[in-house]
This record gives sequence, structure tokens and C-alpha cells, in this order.
Amino acid sequence: MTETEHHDAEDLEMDRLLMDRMRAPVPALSSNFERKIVRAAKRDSDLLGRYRWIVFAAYVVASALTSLAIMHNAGLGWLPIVGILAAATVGSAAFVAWKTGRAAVARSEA
Amino acid sequence: MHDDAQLVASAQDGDQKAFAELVRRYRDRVFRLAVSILGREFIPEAEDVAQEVFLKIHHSLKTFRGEAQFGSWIYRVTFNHAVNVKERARFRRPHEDDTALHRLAGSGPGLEKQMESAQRDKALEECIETLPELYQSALRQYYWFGSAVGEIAESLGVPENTVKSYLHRARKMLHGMLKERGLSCD
Repeated sequence: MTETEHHDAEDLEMDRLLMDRMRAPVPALSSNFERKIVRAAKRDSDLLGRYRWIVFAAYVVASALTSLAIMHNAGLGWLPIVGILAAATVGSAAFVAWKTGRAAVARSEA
Repeated sequence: MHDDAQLVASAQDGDQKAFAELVRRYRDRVFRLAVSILGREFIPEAEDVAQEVFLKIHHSLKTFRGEAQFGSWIYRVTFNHAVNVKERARFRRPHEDDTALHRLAGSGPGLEKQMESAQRDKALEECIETLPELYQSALRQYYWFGSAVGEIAESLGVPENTVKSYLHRARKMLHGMLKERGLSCD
């Protein structure tokens, strides 16, 4: 028997042993698996949606007030302060709208 | 019938029915992949892995850009998560001594042969556990679940020839390990 033949015989032997010893019923998921996932996912997105907006609004208000206080203490008048804050708000809103639009286009193309 | 990309896009827009359809489509394949990595002693843990994978996917759906197939993405997440869980579960493995082997083998005529067979099964399972995770998964999917090489390749994200080579190398390693323990393959 050549070395290759010997290795082939060993491989076949092992294949037979594994076929014989490993074959067993395939385990199945519990019957309510899907319902559990969908319920958990829904709860997750409800919570996330609600808290995301609260955190975001709190962040915007806090940073606007902080900027306002810093700029006023630096001796800037109210008019330029309001102008800067308005420009920053409009700029951020435009950027978010642009990003959201691009994501929607990418999704519809996919 | 929608394809995966359409379902993913709808799920990204908050459509819960689309997400439920994705769960229905992939639940068994994700669970089997988890079982193939964790092994037969950890089937409840594999179900937990499948559950956590779907929640993780739901959580990160918004960031999924669709550059890869949804299937490849979910299989990759499952594989990595199952390997992590296995690392932790390894320390909780129940200890089996020879009394358990006797119980497994039963009693009566041919006891010695049954004992030897049970011993070989136990040794085989122990040897499989020492193989690299990719080999273990390929081996269990092929010999335990009877999955086709193509299916295994899809779940592991590798070409079919690579799966064949995993199986070949795994058999070779197992043969050597059993021989070292003084056990035959026939």
C-alpha cells in the first residue's frame, strides 16, 4: 500500500466512524422563539425611540444655553449671539436632512 | 415573496413584520450554526445565542449598508457570538467520570464492548472539542445535521473547497488523536 493509499484508507475509516457516531436528531428551537424575539425587538425600539429624542433635545438645549452664557460673558452682544446660534441650528438641521436623504436613497437603490 | 434586501430596507424603516419575516427565514440556520460551534452539551445556550444575535441585528439594522449579503452578516455575528459564549461556557462544563460511562453502556452481555464503544464516543467528542472552531462547526454540520457542503460554506462564509479541506484536515487530526489514545476507528 502506498503512502497516499494509506492516508486515503485512514480518511475513509474516520469518515465512516463519524457518520456512524455523530448522526443524531437535529435539535430544534422552542416553539415560541420567534414571538419572543419580535416582542423583545419591539420593546427595544419603542424604548430607544422615546429616549433617543429626550436625550437629543436635552443635549441641544444644554449646549445652546452653555454657548449663550460663554459668548455673553465674553462680551458679545445679544444680536450676534442669536445670529451665531441660529446659523449653527440651521446648519446642523441641513446636515442631518442631507445625511438622512442620502441614507434613504442608498436604501432604495439597494 | 420579498428578497432579503427589500425586507432589510423595510425593517430599517421600522416595519416589524419585515423583521419578523427575516427572523423566520434565518432562525433555524442561525440556531444550527450556534449549535455546531457550542456542541451537543450546550443546546439551551445555543438558543440564547440565536436570540441575542437577532436582537443585536435588530439594534444595528440602521447601520447595515447592504455592502455584504444580509445572510453573510448574520452568520458572521452568530459565529463570533457563539465562540465568545463557548469560551465562557467551557468553565461550566459538567464533569463526567467513568460511572457515567457505565450507566451509558448499561449492563448485561457484551458489556465490555459497549463500554469500549461508549469510551470511544466520549473520546471522540473530547477530541472534536480540541479542534479549531471552524473545523468543529464544519464537522458537526456535516456529520450531525447532514448539511450539504454548499450550505456549510454559506454559513461559514468560505468557498466549498475550503469546507472540504476543513473536513479532510479535521478527520486527519481526529484519526491521529484517537490513535494516540489507543483507540481504533473501526
